[in-house]
Amino acid sequence: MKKHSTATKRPGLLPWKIEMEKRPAGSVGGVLWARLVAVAGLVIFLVLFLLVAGKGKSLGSILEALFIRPFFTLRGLNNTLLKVCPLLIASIGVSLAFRVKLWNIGGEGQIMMGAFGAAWMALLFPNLPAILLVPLMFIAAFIMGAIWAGIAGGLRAQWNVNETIITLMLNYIATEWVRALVYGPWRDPAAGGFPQPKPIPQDAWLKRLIPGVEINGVLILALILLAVYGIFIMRSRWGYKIRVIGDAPGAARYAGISVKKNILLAMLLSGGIVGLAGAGEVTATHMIQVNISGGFGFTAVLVAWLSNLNPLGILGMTVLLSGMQAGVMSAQIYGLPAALGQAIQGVLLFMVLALDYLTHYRFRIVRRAGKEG
Amino acid sequence: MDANFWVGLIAAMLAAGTGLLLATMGEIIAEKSGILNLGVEGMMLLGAFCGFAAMQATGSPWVGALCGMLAGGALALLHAFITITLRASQVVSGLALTMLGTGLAAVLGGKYVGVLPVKLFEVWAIPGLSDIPYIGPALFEQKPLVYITLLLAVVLSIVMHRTKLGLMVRAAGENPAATDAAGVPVFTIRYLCTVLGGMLAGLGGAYLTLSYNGTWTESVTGGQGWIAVALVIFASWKPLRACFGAYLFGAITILGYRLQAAGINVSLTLFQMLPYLATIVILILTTAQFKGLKRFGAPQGLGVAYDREAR
Repeated sequence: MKKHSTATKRPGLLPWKIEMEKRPAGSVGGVLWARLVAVAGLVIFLVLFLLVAGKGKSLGSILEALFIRPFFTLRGLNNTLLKVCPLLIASIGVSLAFRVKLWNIGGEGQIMMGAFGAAWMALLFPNLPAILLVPLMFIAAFIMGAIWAGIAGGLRAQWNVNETIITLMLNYIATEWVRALVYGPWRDPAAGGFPQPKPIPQDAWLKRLIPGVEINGVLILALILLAVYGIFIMRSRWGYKIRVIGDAPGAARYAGISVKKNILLAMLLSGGIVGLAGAGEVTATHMIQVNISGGFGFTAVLVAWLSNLNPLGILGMTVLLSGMQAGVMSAQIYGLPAALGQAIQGVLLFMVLALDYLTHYRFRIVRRAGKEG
Repeated sequence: MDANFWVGLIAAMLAAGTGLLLATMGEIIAEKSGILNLGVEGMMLLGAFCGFAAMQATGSPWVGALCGMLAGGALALLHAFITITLRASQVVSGLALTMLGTGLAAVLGGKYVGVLPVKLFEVWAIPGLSDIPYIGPALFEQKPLVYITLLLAVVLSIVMHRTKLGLMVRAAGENPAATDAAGVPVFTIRYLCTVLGGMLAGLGGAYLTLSYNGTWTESVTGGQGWIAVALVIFASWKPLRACFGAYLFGAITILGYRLQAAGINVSLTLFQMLPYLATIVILILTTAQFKGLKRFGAPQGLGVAYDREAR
């Protein structure tokens, strides 16, 4: 592995070495070159993978299922939109915490607790009209999600405890909690011996507002949240405050901003919003299940980071990654496993990390000094 | 609860904590050199799968353990390149590593879920010592990796705190610029420590599939990789304290089942949550600055890429 080899005095094995140098400021070619490398790397990974995993099947039809179907067919697009709903909401919530430089990677647990709150209300008041029940479910989801993230936020604000690990541990605790409910008191006696949780009242199920197209209430809620996030974060005083706290906590303290209070507040709001995604999933799948968070909490971290917390970026990244996940799902009939999505996301993240570097630096192969003469 | 309960508990505790201890030691090595690697869970899972698959192919759990180490090391090498050479965010790269490792292991391991293993590690009773009443069955009737791991912890502790090599590693983690100026190869040390850390995490994962659980599932680690990251803080970056922490967690993990088997009615759900709850409590206790509690700091250069040009 060749590194910054400027100080290496020993002659190397090879007559040349790789050096890295800073690109001239504003070099557009570098940015394009880096993007190309990133995309190429991802495509190479995918194709290599498909050749290994999907051997014997037509590569064309797998690629079609992965990339064309989720965006350009009505059925595929509907599947993509179904994934956009929870992912967009969760990404907005996670991005809010990122604004204060807080790593909320507990989205999974917050979705789970949100779903718990929503399902609890639905099972507690099954006879309530939907117009009352559904808002109640979402409010409960917000509160449960806020509590779950607020634990980490409070610990961070009060004692500077690392929120990354706390939010993560809370994921596992939430999973065990939901598991205990689903296999215990909330198990559906009508399902016979099959371990299945009780469904929520039919009136509260998620419906399409336009027949045939997956435009539903949760999607609209998500878009409203995105707009509010954009205005709130970019234009409001509070949005400015939390940005200062994230970028320069010392300066914020000096300017009289209460860092502790705002860290807690940001985490509460972040978790509350993420919790709404859980309520959305309960109305969409009609019950609460152990795997209800579906990895959206982790993907939301990816969206937040890739989009640079920009509202339009969040929307674009969400649609892209949702489409990819829907694509992986539709490619499952060709024997591709569902976990492929996660692996692709990991590779994508590495590609972008490398890309960041390549936009500022370039590699050069130079002859070694001692071997020329 | 008679003496046999306690003997059984101690023996099971050592076995249950070994995978976690390996991963924790790996992370200690990496963090001591200044590289935070949050990808432990991914490295463990890929190690667990590769170990199992290699054992199925060769029929030897030793070859499996070796392959698990190599898989973990390969992932860690990626992390090292991204964070040391390209100086990217260690947090993001670590998260990406977890996604990649978890995803790859699940994708490749689909065919191996629920497959019966060809050959697993067997118990090595240490002659003589295992005949001691009570102590023998508790400590000296274990599978080989349990002894090896304990031995490794002692060796690591000595190397880290008593040798020149350990001093160089710690210096690279505390103040890379000064270390570099003193002529110590900071980049090489960070690379080696990160990769070695990944190999131990991979071995920890392989231990689960080849020795402890004996089967491969996509969630065989159950978050142990993340607990390891927290345990490093609990152990204040000291290998021998990590032993204490890891075995304590091992005990917590199995206590629920043991108590139920002994006829005491406890909530299994609560016991399933306990390791994670304990991690939270421990993290609070070790980071919060309570009066009278001695505080141990992280390496000064942890999480910060060393940029020679910015020296």
